[in-house]
Amino acid sequence: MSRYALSIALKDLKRIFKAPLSLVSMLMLPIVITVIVGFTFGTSGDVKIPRIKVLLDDEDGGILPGFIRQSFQKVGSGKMVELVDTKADEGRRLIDRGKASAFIVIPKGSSSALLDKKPIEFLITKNPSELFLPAIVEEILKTDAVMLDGAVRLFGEPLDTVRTFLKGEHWPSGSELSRVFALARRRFVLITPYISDSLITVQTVRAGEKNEGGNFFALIFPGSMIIGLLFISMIAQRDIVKERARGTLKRVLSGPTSAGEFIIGKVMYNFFLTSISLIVLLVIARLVFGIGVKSPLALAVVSLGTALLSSGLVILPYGLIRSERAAVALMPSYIIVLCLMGGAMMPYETMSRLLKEAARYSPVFWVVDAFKRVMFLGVDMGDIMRNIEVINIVGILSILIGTAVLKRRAAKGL
Amino acid sequence: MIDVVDLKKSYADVMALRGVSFSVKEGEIFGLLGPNGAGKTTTVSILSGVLEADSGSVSIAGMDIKRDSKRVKRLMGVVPQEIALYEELSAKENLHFWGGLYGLSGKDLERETERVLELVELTDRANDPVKSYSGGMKRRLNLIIGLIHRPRIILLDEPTLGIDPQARLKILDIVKGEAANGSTIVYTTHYLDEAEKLCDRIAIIDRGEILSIGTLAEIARLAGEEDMVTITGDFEGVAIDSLLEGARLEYISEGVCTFSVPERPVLGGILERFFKAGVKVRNIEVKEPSLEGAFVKLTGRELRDM
Repeated sequence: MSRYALSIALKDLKRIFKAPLSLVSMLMLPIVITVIVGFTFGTSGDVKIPRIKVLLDDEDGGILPGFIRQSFQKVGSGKMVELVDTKADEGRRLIDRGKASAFIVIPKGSSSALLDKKPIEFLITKNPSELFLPAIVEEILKTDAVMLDGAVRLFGEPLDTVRTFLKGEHWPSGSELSRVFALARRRFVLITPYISDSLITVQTVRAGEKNEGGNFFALIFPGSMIIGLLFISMIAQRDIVKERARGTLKRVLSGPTSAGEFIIGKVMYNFFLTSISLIVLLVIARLVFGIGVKSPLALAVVSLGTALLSSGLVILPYGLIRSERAAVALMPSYIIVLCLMGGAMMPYETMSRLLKEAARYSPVFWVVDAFKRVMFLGVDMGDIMRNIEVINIVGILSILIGTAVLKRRAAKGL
Repeated sequence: MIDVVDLKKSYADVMALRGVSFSVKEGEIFGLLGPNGAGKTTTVSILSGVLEADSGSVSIAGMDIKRDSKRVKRLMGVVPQEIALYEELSAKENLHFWGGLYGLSGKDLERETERVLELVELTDRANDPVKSYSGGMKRRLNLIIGLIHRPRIILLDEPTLGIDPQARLKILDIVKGEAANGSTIVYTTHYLDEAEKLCDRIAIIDRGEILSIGTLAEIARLAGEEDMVTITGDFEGVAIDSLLEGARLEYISEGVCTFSVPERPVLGGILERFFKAGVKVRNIEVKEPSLEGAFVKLTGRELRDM
């Protein structure tokens, strides 16, 4: 890392913290947007998260689909998921037309296969124009699979015995029944330390408060946050044009610092500033909106990528803008379009199908989606790998191209 | 110390430099005098390595500005025409940043910061943000940023632009002091008096061309400038035209006569003839060849008209 570039980055950080008005106003932006949208959509738990329509083709008709139905009905007290029974052809037709978030097929014989400890497969078709809602369905189904798998492995032996009784091969004797109870009891004793917490949970609800579903702010805040971060990047990068007008760029270049080092310094400054801002915003998210995360690692990785991406997305157009006036006129529009397209300004789930398709081409979409998954669903790194790849690749590429263009221009005096 | 050979530079259709050449000796204060748009700033920008010339070469301390850019730049201190400061930061923080870029750190940086702040009497305000400074204070800070690393070569591009006479004198004193300490200085200005007072040698530049280079006296002579003499006295009844042999009469009226002489002995002869003729002389004023006069003769226009 160049000493000159680091000096430039630290000097700029010092400058912005000495005159923090613009930074503070940009940090306030996500909070204001979240509060306004939160009040618009309703508060105090009276959330209006779009209902997830799930199509179910139950070809099995056994205990397994019953378990799955129950698990979906538990989400958001049954208000979050609308489970619609359908046949295979109709289900495929509806999902192809985008009429539901996901289509689940439970093949015939799944329940028996499960009890026989044979591998079974659920088929889930996700609506390609949605990412967030099908992801919820996928998470619920995966959780079901883990629970069922564990249950069958643990209680396999007593279940087998019970099955022979049910098939009516013979009526169990007292000793046989005692053996089944003993087996089941032993298994319960074994797993009690691991499941005791999840079997009985105590939920404290204050009088007059409702508690239905997830934190709605966790759905809005990621989008608002990226808007704020992009505007903060804009302030940071506008400084390049300002330095040229003020004569400080010329002065820097008349010293031993090269144009490339100057630009790298500015990129580092942008990255540091957005990283610090991101930390502040996440702390605010926790303290003000009560948004917590289950995977700090996933949050850290997405945050790092976001700082890279928001720096890159702003540096790139600055490579093409020639004056401060043009920067002032064009950059806010560019950022607003990018955020609108990426579902940062309005819930992605409320967008039309065409816009949903278009959103995937906005890097902002991948950031918003990743933060929503981490903050709302509490997913791990593995579930957002694609997002992380897109965010980092686009971020690094845009930084490299933007830096190269700006470096060339700085060498010519911008 | 500095050798500039046939520099040419154009911006779109405008030729900013049309083959500028000059040399600056070590320890010398070299002035580039010219009106706005003459090519002074372009020349300094090329010398400081910020701008590339279309053709020609610049050698500084025996090194090529393009090939040995970093090494050359370390030797130089540049004071730009603009007040190139970070206004949110204090004078001290500005100096620390710029000094750091030139490799100063720790105690050296602190010592040099204190030194240059004292030089321009800004020690008391060193921790105040620059945005609270007056124009003169900013100019002084702008100057010392270029001096903090004790450069061997100092390029000053109109460092006294738009400031009060007191601050201007202070800056000129500092520049003289730096030269006395052995620094080589290139000083651009469009103030004639600054060039006259400060510079060992001057180059008059206009429309991208060097019109004349030399000491003040050499330039004046090259431009054909002569001593201008004004005599006031009692000329009544005396035909003084005949007494002005060797001089060129410029103006005459009752009691006042102005004429130019190519050299001083001619004036001696004229005065002798005045006394012999009994002309009562009350006052003699001799105006030596001026840079202003030379400038007008070389460029065909007054600096204030540009």
